[in-house]
Amino acid sequence: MFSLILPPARRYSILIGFWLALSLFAGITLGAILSLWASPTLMTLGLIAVPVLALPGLLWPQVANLPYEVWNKLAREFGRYSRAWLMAICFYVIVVAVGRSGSSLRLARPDSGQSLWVRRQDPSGARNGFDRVVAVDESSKSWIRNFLKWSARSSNLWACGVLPFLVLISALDPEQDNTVPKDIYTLF
Amino acid sequence: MTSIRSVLALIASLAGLLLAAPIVVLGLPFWAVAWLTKRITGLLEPEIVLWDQLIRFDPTFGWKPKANLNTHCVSELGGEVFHVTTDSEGWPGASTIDESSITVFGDSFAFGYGVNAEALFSEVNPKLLVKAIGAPGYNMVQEVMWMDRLSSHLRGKLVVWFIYVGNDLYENLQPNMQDYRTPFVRRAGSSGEWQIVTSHLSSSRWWPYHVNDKLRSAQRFAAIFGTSFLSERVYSACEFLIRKGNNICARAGASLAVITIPIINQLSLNDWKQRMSELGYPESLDLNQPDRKIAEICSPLGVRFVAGKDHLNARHFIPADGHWNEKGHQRIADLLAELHQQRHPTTRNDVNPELRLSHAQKRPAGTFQWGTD
Repeated sequence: MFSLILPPARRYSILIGFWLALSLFAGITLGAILSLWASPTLMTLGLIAVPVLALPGLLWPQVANLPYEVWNKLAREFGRYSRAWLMAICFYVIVVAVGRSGSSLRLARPDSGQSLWVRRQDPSGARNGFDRVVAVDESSKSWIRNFLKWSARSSNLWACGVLPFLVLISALDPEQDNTVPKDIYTLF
Repeated sequence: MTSIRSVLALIASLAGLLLAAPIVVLGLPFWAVAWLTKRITGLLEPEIVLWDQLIRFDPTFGWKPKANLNTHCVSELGGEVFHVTTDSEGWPGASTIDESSITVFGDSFAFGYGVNAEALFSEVNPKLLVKAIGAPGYNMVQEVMWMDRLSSHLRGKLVVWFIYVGNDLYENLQPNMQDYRTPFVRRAGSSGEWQIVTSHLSSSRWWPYHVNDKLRSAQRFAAIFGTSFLSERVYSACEFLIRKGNNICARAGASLAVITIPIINQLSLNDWKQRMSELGYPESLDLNQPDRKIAEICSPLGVRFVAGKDHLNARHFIPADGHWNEKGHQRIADLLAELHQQRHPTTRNDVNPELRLSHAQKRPAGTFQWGTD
């Protein structure tokens, strides 16, 4: 899913693109609100507002610098709180509900002298946890497809219920394809 | 149990989605604007390639720029999209090495990374033909190897060597640049003489490198700006390479000049102190050490030395990226013209290097003038 964070680089073209996008979104939203509250014909007013709003950013792209920064900060904060909310839903709603059906893990205290070591079932080795789940089919670039394949193959169909939340969390990830690794230096 | 669990998960998931609905609604403006920004930017910009698509594997030098490039590139760290062109040999600029009066060897600064091909220092002064031989990521070892390879074309020319102090000095000792294999120097045998190593070069990745490596920035800084065993190795290797480059130029009938390129934080003492503090590096690191050490190396060899730090300021650099901007390239073009005129004075004024260099903020401590050697 597409990230909600804007690219870190602020090239003129990106600033213009941002300003146009914001103008378009503001114009359409304004038109929709006016058409709902007053008259449907006022939708055109919102559309007329789009080029008017877009003009400053087209003429002076640098005016978009501050709004760009503020918008990205808001997006990051929104992403941070939303991820926490989604995680809470997963843990306190889905996992709790699924937990009612019992567990295949032995969670009770063992008898004296009895080992809790379990023979390893999955020989596919090198990867762990979520990486192992989404890398079921190396040829597929879609982690969602791999996740579905894993849940079907391993009889964990219940995990499909978590999938929409994982998709949303990934879309709210601030690191997703938009940020430059920290402490990297460019190529000299 | 599996089917009961699946049913419970489905019901819980539907309930969870209801709880998550506000996030989707509130997030819609952010997603919409981010998506539209990306689409509109894509329409406004030409097709962009990253730096690794500008180069190809070379079995002798590790890599070199592709020939006849005409494309656009952008730095991941910042700056505008820039136009990249190369000649039939893979070098930037319109003139050939034989036509040029000055041949510049260097890394991405010489290649013109960060600015349009038309704004490169070699292109902005039509009265002075300059040929740049450089590629992104080169260290001094690769540059001296190119000097050797092209030595038959250097007779009578001024050869200018750009040394970027930010990484060139340290990476002379490294067998890799990120995951590319690169020629490097090491001490060999009991004599401890430096030698250039190329035996490990191949098109395969340098396996120990991982993208999450922090490129050893603390070690790099300590080696370049501090005093340690590693620092001694760095400057000893640098001396070996400058000596080798000078010998190549002398044999070819060319004269060598070295221009150091500072990192942007070196240009202001306050900025330097602040950056060192942010990185948690010791205050003992000396921002003037590279220029002082390289000047000391150049002096006995009779190699002209210019500390770029004394001719550049922060306005000459792309802030986030660290390469020169158009003003920086113009300043370097002026500096090359001054060096050329000092070497071949044509008017009375040109004879006086003090007068010609008066554009600079101040005279570099370690600058050697034509005619003093």
